[in-house]
Amino acid sequence: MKIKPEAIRDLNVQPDSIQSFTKDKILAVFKNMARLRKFEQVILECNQKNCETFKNKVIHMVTGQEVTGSVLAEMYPKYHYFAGHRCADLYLGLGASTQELRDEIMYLDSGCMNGTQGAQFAYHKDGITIHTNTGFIGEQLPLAAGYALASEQKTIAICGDGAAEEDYALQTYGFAATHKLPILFVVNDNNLSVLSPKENRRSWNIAKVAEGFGLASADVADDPWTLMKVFSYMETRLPALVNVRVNRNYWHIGFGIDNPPLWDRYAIVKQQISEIGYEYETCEIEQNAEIEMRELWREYL
Amino acid sequence: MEKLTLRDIIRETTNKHLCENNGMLFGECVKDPGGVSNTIPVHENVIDTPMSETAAADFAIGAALSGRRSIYVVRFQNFMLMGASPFISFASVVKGIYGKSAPVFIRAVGCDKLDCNHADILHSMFMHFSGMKVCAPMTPGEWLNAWETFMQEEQPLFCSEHRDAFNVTDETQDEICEDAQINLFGISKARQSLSEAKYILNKIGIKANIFHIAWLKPFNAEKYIEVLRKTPLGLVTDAGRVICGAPEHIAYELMHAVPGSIVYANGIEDSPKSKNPKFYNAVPDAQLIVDKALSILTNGRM
Ligand SMILES: [Mg+2]
Repeated sequence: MKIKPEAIRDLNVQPDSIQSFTKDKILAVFKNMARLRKFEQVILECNQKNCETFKNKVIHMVTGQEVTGSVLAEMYPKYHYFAGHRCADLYLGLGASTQELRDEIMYLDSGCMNGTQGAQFAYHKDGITIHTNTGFIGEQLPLAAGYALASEQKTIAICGDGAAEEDYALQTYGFAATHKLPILFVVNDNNLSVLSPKENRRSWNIAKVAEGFGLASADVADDPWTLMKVFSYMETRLPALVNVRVNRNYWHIGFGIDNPPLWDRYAIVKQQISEIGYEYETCEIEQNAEIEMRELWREYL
Repeated sequence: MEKLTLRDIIRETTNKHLCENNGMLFGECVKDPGGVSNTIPVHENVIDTPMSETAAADFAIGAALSGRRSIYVVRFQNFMLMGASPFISFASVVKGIYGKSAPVFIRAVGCDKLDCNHADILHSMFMHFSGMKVCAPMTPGEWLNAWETFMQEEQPLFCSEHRDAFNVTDETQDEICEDAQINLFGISKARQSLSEAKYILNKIGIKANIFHIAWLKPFNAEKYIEVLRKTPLGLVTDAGRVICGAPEHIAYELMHAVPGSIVYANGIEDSPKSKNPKFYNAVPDAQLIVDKALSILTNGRM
């Protein structure tokens, strides 16, 4: 039976939960989302003007699934993060250097990983801690668990739905439960591992599996206001896992598009914010984000 | 005073690390008193991991990333076939990639005369990848040297131990004679047969030098230039396999260090190991080393 897109879009979403948050909080989350969108829109524009610019570069576009990192960064700016590829939303949201992000993508020595990776973004300055894997999918999960055990610091490990099912990831949920680690696993579930949909790969649900291992868990669509409530709830019950249903608007790598996204959360969120009276502010945030990112990429435009 | 065995040194050094440095130790089935041939102390920082070599390695590396140098123990080196990837792909390279270090001391215990997945020596595999030092200590002093090297550096270190060395108390010495006809180099358990091989050769009128190699990577070939110039023939015997392995690599390094010298590589056969004596594929013993040496001396080949 084919599941309707709306059923995923609205999965466990709490209607009107936007009302629970202050204007500042709401706009801060939107600002994170807008900066990511504009960052990537300008990349697309650079590519349209000169397709040589990103030749041999590995770009994992986040657009479509930027809510997760945007919300986490706003809620937990000082936690210790372990992310994988496709994490520019978190990176930008935490306020890490945009120049270093751009330069990493461009393989420059001044990149946040000295230009060695181009597609993963670690950052350890200004009170921000982002670790990353070096290419083995989901390796950041067991790394984060060892880190949380040893440091006793609140740690957040972010991965995709494919990474979440790696053998060592599964062991990590059990290890986190056994040792009652202060760790939150967040799965960006875009239903795709490269191009393989979940139903081809597994018949089980990661939130249920996590629960079986003894973690608090939730399975919820990427409505930012619901997510903020869920993360707050889970934060007092660590270790926990939250599976977030998102869309990946572009190909695994690069700028290709196969199908339109099942839903456009960015547009939905912008509409919600406008409806509660902050339309002007959203436009201003978008404009500022565009100015910032155009300036950032100026030499490539 | 009674001499300390290698086993005692490992256990006491580990205990000190756990108590004084807030270090951690990770491994499967390591927490039981007397664990891993009584090389592991009883301490709360010893973590019995779930039975997943790969995840366990990552847990150890994650702990090291947070600033707590950790020790990762596998009771049989073969298990490193599953535990290797986090060290190779992450811990060895993370310093160069984003400036954070993940120093883990990997204690991989080798054995002999066990089945095909409990008796291999795999240190050669780790020499291949970047960023990791590889040592095969067989004495207390060599093990301490590996440990102290690790403590001063920011990379993981692969320590290829051998169960048959845990009772060793004495250090070994290289033995050089004036008119040697061949140099016998040994690695890991093969070193325990060097003296006997030299003795057997001596009885039939052949003089041999013997050299104990603990550091495989980096390997210091320069140390042997003088002896190789005098006696430009050698045989490197390892407890592991030869093809693309430590003995071939070291033979190559030695021949490069002294052009014109010929150094052969020796180790176990290119077949599985077994518990069945008929199929042991055991580490070369003294007689086997002697046979190879004689073949080289007589026929110019092994
Ligand atoms: Mg995915």
